[in-house]
Amino acid sequence: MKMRIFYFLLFLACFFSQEIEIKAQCCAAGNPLNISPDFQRSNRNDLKISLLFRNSISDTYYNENEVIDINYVDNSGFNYLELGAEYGLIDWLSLRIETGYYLSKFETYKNPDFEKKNAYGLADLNIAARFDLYKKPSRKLQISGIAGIKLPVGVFDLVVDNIKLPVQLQPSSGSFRYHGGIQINKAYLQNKINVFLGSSVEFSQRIQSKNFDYKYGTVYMIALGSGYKLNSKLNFLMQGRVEIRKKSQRENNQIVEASGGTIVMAVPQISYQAFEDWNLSLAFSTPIYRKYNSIQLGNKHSFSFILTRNNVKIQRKTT
Amino acid sequence: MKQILFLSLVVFMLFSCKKSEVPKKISNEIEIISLDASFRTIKAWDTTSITVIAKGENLSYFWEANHGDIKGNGSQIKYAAGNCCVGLNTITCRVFNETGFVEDTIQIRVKHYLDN
Repeated sequence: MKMRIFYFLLFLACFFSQEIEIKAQCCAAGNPLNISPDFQRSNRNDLKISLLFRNSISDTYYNENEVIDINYVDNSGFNYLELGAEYGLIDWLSLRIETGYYLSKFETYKNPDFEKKNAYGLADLNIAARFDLYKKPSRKLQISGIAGIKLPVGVFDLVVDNIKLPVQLQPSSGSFRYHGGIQINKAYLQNKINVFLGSSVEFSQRIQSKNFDYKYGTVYMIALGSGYKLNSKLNFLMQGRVEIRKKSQRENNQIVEASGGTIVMAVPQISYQAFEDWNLSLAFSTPIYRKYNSIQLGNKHSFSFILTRNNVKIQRKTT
Repeated sequence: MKQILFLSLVVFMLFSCKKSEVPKKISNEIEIISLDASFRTIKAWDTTSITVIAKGENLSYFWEANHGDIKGNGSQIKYAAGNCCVGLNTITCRVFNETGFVEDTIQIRVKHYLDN
C-alpha cells in the first residue's frame, strides 16, 4: 500500500512539474493517430498491455496533390514509443490509457548552414473508454464505441541551445483533444475472415496564451479493412484509411490555409501470436492518395511494431 | 506489473524535462538597444537575419517564435517559416544573465510561397 502511495505521489510530482507553457508555433504535433485496429476489448478484470514503436518519414513537399520543389526541409520524421494498458472494468466497458514518448523527432535541412534539429520527450496522455454497443456472438457481429481525451501532459516548451523548438518538433500537441469513434466487426468462415469498418473524430481545444493562440483542425477518420487468418498463429490484415483534417486557426480566428487536407492510406499488417497471450504485429502505412490544402510537407511512410500481452488477470478484492 | 507500468511512466516523464535557463525575474542591469531584421517581410521558406544589440555583463540570448523556425543562436539568428505560418509572426528575444532578463519582440510578415 505504501509503495502504491509512493508511486502515485511520484507520478503526480512529475505530472505537475511539467509546467505546461502553452506557447508555440504552427503546423501539427502530438501523438500520431493509431493505425492498427484492435478488435478485442479487454474482458472484465483482464488487463491488456501493449508497446508500440513507430517510425515515420516525410521528405517531399506537395502543393495540393502535386510534388513541389521547396528548398527547405530535407527530411523530417520521428521514432515514437507508446505504452498502453487496457483494463476491463465491467462486462461491457474497459478503460484504456496510453502514454507516448518520442525517442527522436527531427528535421534536417537542405541548407547546409542549418543544423539538424532533434527533439525528444513525453507526448500526450490518452485516456479512453471502450464499450460494447451491440454484440451478437452467434452472428459474429460486434459494434463498439470509444470516447476519450488526450491530455497535453508532455513536453511543449522544449528548448535547445536557448532556442525554443518549433511546434512541429515539440513532443506534445499542447492542446486538450477529445475523440470518439465507432467500430463494427463481423467475422466469417469460423473466424477465418474478419471485416471491419471504423470511423472516428478528434476535436482540439484552442490553445490560448500570452504569445500563442492556435486551434488544430478537427480530424475525421474512416477505415475499412479485412483480416485473414493464415494459420492458427498468423493473421494478415489490409485496410484502407481516409484521414480528413480540417484547417487550423491562429489568432483572431485567421484560417491557416496551409493546414489540413485529405489522405488515403493503405495499411498492410501482419500479426503473429507468439505464445498464448502474446501478440506481435508489424504494420506499414503509406499514402496512396493525398490532397493537402496549399503547400505542405507530406508523409512518405510509417512503420509500426506492436507487442501486446492479453489477458493479464487482475484479482479484485471483494468485501 | 502495475509497479512496472508506473515506473515506466515516471521514467518517461523525468527524462522529458528540459527547460529554458532564462531566469524568471526582470533585470535592471540589462538594456536592449535594438532588435532588428534584415527583412521585415519574407516569402515562405525564405530567411531573414534578426540581430539584437544589448548592454550588460555576461549576456545570453533566448529566442522563440510564435510561428516559424529559428536557426542558430546567440545575438544573431535566422528566421524562416513555411506556408503554414503565412501572416504576421512575432519573434521574442530574451536577453539574460545572472541578474535576470529583459525581452523585446519583432514582427516578421510571411507571404505565401507562390505570391509575387
